[in-house]
Amino acid sequence: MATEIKQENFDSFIREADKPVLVDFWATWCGPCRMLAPVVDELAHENEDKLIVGKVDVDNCPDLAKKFGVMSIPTLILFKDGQPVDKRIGYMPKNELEQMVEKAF
Amino acid sequence: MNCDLLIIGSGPAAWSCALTARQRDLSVVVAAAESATGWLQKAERIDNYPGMPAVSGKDMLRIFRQQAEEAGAQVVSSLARQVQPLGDIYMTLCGNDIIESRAVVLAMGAARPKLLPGEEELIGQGVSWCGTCDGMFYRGKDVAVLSAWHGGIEEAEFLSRLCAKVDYYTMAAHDLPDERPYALHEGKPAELVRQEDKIIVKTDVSADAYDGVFIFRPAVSPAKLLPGLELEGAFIPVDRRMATNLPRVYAAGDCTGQPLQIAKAVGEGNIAAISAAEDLK
Repeated sequence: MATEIKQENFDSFIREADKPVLVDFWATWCGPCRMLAPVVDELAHENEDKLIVGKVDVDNCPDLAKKFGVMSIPTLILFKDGQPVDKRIGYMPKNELEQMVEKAF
Repeated sequence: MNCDLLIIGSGPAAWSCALTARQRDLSVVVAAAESATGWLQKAERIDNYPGMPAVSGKDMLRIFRQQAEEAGAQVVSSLARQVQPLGDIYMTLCGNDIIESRAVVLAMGAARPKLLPGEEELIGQGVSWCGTCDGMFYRGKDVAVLSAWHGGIEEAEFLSRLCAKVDYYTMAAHDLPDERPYALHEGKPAELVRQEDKIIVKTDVSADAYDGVFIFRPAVSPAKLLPGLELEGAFIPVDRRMATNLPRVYAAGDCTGQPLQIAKAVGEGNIAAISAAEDLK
């Protein structure tokens, strides 16, 4: 399952991660986000030994959304060694999501 | 919302499929985002459909729908935007709601959205296809709504509650309410261009800058609707059971290709329902 990340622990969550981190920027009212959520959860479960997956509710963390230029949700950002290395906007099927994260392994 | 069979479409194939699926005792939801610009809605007189001589397209669709509803099909009037498999079920995003079904029939006709130059590249960078999802990022800002159907009206009203200014551009003729919290713009959108942190909506007569641009159409291309669905050009290949390349996904009507005829669509909808009922046993 993806871990809920808050504004206050975001930096440490990314910095202290010993694996690539995929962050899902979403909101409860967003239909496409609710479609993507089970796919992201499945990916997290299948790759739990090599990937950390987090979720940011943009409603609670508008500053984080702004910081990473999130203007549309869902947005997925992949971090490696603390740095964003890929960003995708909108719903993605699972195979595309797998291709995205595999590049960071 | 859960059902056995979700039918995407609002034409003859969809209603025929719904009717037969109900007769086979499947629970049925029809995602019928009716477009006033659909060709059958505008047909004044149809002379080659048996049993309904000289019927108008509008009347025919009303009769088809009424019969399907009386048989117990549930109708939602929102646009199906995304279908995805999840285990043994399909999740479909209709408007902003998710419908779970055991099988899906694609009967959304042959209309294909034509994107504006610049549109796809600017998605997520000031251009959005979802007002409810992305409206909050434009709170207090100036936005444009570019709409090809009445579905854009509700979105424009929603955005008007959040944004400083909303301009409404009509990409295809549709009725608008007399009282509007947004301004109508005369031009027909031709191109979107990014200029610093603004998006320029270029029309035949104007070029105006906005912080955000929201675009609404009554159709989604099959490739975007259901990733992994096999296509042949603009159409969905099916076998004689109306099955597509994906399990428990069928297609019927104009979206499967020529001839684009009502009787053919009705027949294919019927077969798709029978195939789904067999496969869901």
